Amino acid sequence: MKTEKRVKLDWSRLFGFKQVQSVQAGHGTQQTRAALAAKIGAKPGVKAG
Amino acid sequence: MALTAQENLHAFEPSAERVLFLDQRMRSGLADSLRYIFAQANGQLNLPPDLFQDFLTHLETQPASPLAFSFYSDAVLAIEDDNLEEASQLLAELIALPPHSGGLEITELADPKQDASAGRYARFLNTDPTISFEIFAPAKQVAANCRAQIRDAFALLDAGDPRLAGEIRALLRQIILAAGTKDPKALTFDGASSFMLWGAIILNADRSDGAIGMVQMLAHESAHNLLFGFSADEALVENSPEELFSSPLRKDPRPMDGIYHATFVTARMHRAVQRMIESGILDAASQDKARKDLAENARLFKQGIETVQRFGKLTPLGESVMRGASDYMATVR
Repeated sequence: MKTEKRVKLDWSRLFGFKQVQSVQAGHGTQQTRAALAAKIGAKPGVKAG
Repeated sequence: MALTAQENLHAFEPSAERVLFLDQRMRSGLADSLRYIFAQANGQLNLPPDLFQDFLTHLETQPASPLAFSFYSDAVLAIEDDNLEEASQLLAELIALPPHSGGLEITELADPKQDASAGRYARFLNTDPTISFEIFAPAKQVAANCRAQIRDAFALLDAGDPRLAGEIRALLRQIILAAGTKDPKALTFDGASSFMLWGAIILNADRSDGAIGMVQMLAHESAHNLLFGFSADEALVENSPEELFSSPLRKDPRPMDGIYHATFVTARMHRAVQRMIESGILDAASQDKARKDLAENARLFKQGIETVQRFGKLTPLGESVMRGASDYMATVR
């Protein structure tokens, strides 16, 4: 059974999470992490083998 | 005294004054959210209220460690998981962060497996679930060589592009030198930055493209931070993160937000190299490399902007910011 969270946060009021909500309403934290993902400059020509 | 937004807040040209405003806006946004979290928790977070308030006061008035943003991000996710004990611990670590001097520090990453802060930096750069790469502490000599490259790059920027030099110094709190894997089959990195490490960039210190290469790396990673600052309250693009496109800078397909970033930072790299060439401060070998890099940056921008124009669902902010980059590139074609 799903229990209620003790602290409810409105993501539209959270810095850095607002823009995530605007494009991903309803998505969970994994998608949030991806949306706030780092900008990585992978080495050109190198690919995960 | 509170800084006010400039009319040309989203201009393509660098501006130290503008990024001071962005930094204050980022810190104010963080402070407002922390205040909101504390109120919503209504005593359920184990935090001393007076120390919490003191931290917020400092945060709104003084430069902050990039780690502050990462602790906040983790605390929000812990609250979402209803793990208030972990959230309390994270916020306690946040308010215990030492004050930041405000200058640009160059530091070396400690071993992420041994050092909690190093592990935190590494984790925030590894947030993309579709890729994974290892980050290590750099070898001493490699780090020393990289420091020399950064020093030489800033000397070039101060002489040839003082506006960009000023913007980078105002924008960045930390340049963290790190190392990637030597495994030729594994993915590694050149440089990295993260919204939730505002003001920090991590560089792969094992580099061999000299000061002009480092000028571009600094222009590149600082431009990511600039875009993070622009997008504090509003996204740049509205495409779903699940829509993937060919990137001008990476082999793997990326979401439109990544294509947008790559395209913009390529224009900023082009501008930096153009200024170096125009200033006449480069020796013959550096001039040669700079001209090749200039052509490559122009090619990559063209590739990126075509994808952005064809598939990007840009917000008004995203349109405004990219227009500056496109207008600049149009003047140099």
